[in-house]
Amino acid sequence: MPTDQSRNNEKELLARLAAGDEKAMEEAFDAFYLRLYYFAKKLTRNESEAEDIAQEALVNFWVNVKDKGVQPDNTESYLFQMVRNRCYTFNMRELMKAGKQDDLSRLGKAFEHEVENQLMREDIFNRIFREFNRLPGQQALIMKMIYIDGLHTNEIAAQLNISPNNVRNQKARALDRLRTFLADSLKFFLFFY
Amino acid sequence: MHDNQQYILTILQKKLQKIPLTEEEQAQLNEWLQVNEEDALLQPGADEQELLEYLQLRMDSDRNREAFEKFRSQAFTNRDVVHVKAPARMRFAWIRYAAAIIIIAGIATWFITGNRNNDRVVNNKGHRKVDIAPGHDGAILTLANGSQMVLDSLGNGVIASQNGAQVVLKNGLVQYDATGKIAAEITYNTMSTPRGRQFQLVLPDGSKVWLNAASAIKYPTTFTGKERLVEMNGEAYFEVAKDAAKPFRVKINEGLSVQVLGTNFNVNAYENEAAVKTTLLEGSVQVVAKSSVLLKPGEQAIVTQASQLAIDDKPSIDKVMAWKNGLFNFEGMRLKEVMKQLERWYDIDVVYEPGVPDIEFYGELSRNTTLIDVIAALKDSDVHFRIEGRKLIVLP
Repeated sequence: MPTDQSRNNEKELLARLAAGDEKAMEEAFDAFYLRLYYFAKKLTRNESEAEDIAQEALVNFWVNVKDKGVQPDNTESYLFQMVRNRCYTFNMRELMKAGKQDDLSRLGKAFEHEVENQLMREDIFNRIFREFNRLPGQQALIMKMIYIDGLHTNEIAAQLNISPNNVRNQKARALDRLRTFLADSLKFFLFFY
Repeated sequence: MHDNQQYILTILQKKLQKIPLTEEEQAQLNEWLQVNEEDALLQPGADEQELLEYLQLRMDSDRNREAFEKFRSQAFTNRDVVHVKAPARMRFAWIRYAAAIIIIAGIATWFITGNRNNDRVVNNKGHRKVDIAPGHDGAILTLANGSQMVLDSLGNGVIASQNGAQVVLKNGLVQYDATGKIAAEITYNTMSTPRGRQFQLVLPDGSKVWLNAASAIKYPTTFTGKERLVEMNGEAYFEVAKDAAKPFRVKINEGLSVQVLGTNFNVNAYENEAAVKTTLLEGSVQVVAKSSVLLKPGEQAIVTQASQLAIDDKPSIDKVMAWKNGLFNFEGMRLKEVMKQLERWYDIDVVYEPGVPDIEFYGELSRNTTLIDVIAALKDSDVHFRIEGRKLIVLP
């Protein structure tokens, strides 16, 4: 849910992009590239194609806003929609290449389902990622070391030069915060139902 | 969201916020966690694994940096304006919210129930509990001499020679190529799909046939007589090659057949369904039972077991053709009808416990979905499911 604050930020960003501000484009790129890449990878199951598709969408976004006066209502859905369209074209071509013309009629609806599904997942994961990044102090780093790098408490303690108990405490506090966040998300989704 | 699940989610939310639970609530939650672990409805492992991969990707700042360098070098070459279509209408919103709740609840449960041993989650991709894979392409070909071949394991090439025709398998499709010498006697082949399989074949006259699960078609290896006669049961979609001189006829049983010129139509003739439904998409067909009727495109003939013939002039073509398009369409369908489809596609038996209400379902799903995901979407306040081996138990 975009708040007024994020709406204003988005407007401001678009205005800077329209003025050709490359720094603004770098911010937009950092905010969206990996999200778009993930989404494209899920839809095409092809990593290098997904990289190209995400790139292309952002290049077009930049050119359209800077040179063609395009002002999307919602940057996020504009970008995801572009990626969706390109993935659809790619999947269709792959089917043609494989000589599976008969499957083309199947592609349409099954693809829409997959788009819905992946948009929803990416949205949830992105919310959790943002929350992860908001963890104070060393908590985000410790969580990353535990869950992503698969390190043990003692290894983390040694690397960060803190006590194992400190690591455990910080992990507990981080988990608490994420649980509260998930509880709120549940409330949010239940409310909509 | 429905009452029972709503209740569980409320408890879950309390638990997450560390609000003390009553004994009753704790018992409910324990039971729910246990059932879900058994059913793997929350697919322990899969979503969390996915989430961890996502987080890892988002933290990969080198990757982002590299991509940005590439972007920097491209972004100054002008491109054409891209036409962006309006976002598609949200058709499956309810499934989306239900799925979102299930995923969040799953991740939340994972945070609650420990995951102390993170190796388990990081390293095991295959850790899904009992699930049943969807059906796929495959069939059994019975030749004139009674020998049988399983077609999901064969490669391309000539697989048999049948009285003046060669049976050729190419990219999972069987077709008949006449060799020139037509034999005097007619030989018949039968293509049949068991439950959990579908198949496509091209008949000797070039007509295409798609067979749904648990279906069969019997046909001559060359069409020699005045008409092209095939017999079928189960469900099949036909695209009949035009040949005005040789009408095409589909025999469903002694009292029922469909007479065709060149046309596309679907026949649903499962013996455990109340009626045989013939739906015409293009061209014209005549359905012959005790009486007969000429169908117009978009119409459906319904022949009951008592050979009563009726016409539905506005059947949902999406619903009729869903199977061929790789979908389940449960729009307005009753529980037992839905379960019959699942039985055929997942090769399972459905058992009903007493007191299950005959509710209606809505929405569409890909047929390429595992059984657990299908029942997760179908779950309702009044109807619950449990998988035991290849049995799906429906509980009130």
